[in-house]
Amino acid sequence: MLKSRFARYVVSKAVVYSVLWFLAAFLNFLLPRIMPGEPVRRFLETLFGMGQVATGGGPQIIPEMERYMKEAERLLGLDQPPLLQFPSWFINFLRGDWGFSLAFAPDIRPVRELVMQFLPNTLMLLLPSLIVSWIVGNYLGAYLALKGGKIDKVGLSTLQFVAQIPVYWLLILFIFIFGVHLKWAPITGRPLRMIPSLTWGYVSELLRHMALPMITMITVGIGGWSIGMRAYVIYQLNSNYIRYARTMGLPQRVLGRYAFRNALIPQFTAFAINFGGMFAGNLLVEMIYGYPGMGSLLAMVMGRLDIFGMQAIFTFTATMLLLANFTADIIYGFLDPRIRRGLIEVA
Amino acid sequence: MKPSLPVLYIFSKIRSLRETLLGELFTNRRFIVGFAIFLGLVIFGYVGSFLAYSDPWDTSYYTGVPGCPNEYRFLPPSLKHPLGTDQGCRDIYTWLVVGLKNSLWVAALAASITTVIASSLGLIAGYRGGVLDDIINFSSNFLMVIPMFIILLMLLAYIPPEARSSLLVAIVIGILGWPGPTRVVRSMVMQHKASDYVDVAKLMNFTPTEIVFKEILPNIASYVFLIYISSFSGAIFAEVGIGAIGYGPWDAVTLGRTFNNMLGGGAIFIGAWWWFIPVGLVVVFLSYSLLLINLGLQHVFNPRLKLTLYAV
Repeated sequence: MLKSRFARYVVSKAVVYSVLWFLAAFLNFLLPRIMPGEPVRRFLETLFGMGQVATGGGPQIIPEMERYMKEAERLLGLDQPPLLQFPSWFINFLRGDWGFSLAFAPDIRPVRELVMQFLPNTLMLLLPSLIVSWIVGNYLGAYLALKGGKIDKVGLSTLQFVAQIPVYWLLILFIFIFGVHLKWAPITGRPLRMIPSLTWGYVSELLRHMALPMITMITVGIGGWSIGMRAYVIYQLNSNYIRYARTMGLPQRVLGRYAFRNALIPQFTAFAINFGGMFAGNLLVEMIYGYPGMGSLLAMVMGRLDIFGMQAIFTFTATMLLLANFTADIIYGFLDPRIRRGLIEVA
Repeated sequence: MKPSLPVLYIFSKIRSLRETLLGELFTNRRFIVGFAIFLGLVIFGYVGSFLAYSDPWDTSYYTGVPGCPNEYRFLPPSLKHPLGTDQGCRDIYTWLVVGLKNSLWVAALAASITTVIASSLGLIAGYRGGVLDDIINFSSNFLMVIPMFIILLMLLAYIPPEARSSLLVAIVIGILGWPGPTRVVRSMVMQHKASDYVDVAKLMNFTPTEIVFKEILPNIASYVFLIYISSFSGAIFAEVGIGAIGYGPWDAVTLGRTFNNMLGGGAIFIGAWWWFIPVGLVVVFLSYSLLLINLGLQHVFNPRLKLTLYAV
């Protein structure tokens, strides 16, 4: 009985997320094809324009443009109605064939290869920042909530201010101070000229090149996480079970531990959402710092109006997001016995 | 509570409900500080762009010579150019104030759209219930999961630049903001639906429309206002973010466009602190002031929150 309830919970979640995922992929595919302003056409025009620039012709209207356009549409399969194009694209996506990106024209690169190339960089940068800011933010928030008084007030105001700072602006400041002025850190990207290896020289260079964006994201991240955690801990401290425990004479330290553990549950969900969002990279941070991650890839693909690349990358992002949320819901069920036993429903 | 200004003390003594609420608002330190910063920024944007020659694109007005000679690029601050000039000999100060003014407009419009959509959907879903409620609740839950910024970027990337007017951008930002606020309104309406005054209104044969708009809406008006403020802040962030990447409005100079221009001009690498520090400070103080206003309003509107006041 107990087991079947949890199984039913998992299955219902799985069904909902699959439907959502299918919808996301469908809209993602359909949008550029039905959008006013014809993004597909603009994409082809840019492609032709690039060819002309490459051959030194400059942007000029060729009389045969229309005919070329028709031919290109036929070759790329864009002349069919969008609804007919969708199934084959979707099946290919499921199979792992994500189509080709024309953003690097004249090179034609498989999108999956591109993602596999850029994703590790993004994860290497964002995952440690997310984990560190989550852990530090949780402890800081709980500390403020339990401490109260003057420290809490000052700390909270500071954190609220910090949380309002746009990450990319703080990064600009840090680059200016530590990179341009003090020359402690490189001012852009990664050690591109070095051959990746497991030597200390390469690793330390890599770390040096990730230091600034990481510190920035951790700083702003701590602001957000700790404000949330503080609120949840205060909410827990005011709840009936803690009051009861207090009247039972349990020491503050134990109460704090109870409150902390229960307050972690919503923080955990938020972590999962952020974990999923991580796969899109942080566009502005990567763009400003010239860091070759998913954000830079997305910027490049969007700049070239490469609809095939955009579709695949956005669908991949949506997949990871929904997968992360699904996992979070399942683990949530494990963490909270009330859900596991089917006593309460989670939206 | 001890009022901070004698004038406001007298003001708060006036007994009518609206006046006491206002009086209480203006004795709330957070609200006063936030409101002052916000008002200051609005005045800065308006008076500043009124005093500045209000065409940010014009270079000859500032340099006095047609075109853009090299010696007028990247000028440091001076009396004529309070924040220097950019790579195209344009006055950065003008970009800042005009950008601020236009961004405020974009955000105000976007926040209005969000608030209208969220409160109507929330009222319908909360009061009617049933299938409609299921649909609205389900889709808002779903959309809450996906970062709004990615959807926004995707939509705006597919729109051609010449069609990306500030009106359109404001509408897109406004429409995309609905899920969170709708959930808040919905849960508020569901609470109020079960209260006595709604039962009385039903007994008095009020139609559902009357109950929703004449009875429930005035009672949750304070929350609707809070939603407006937080949507405003979100819209500022969204506009600056997409504008900085280069997918913001193209017909007007906004804060996002100013950011984009600053990144494109390589302000960091030439060490032009007068270029990037003011823009960022304006954004930070704008959203911080809105947060303070929000906290102050919550304090006054919902005294029960006092316990966890600083918890939001």
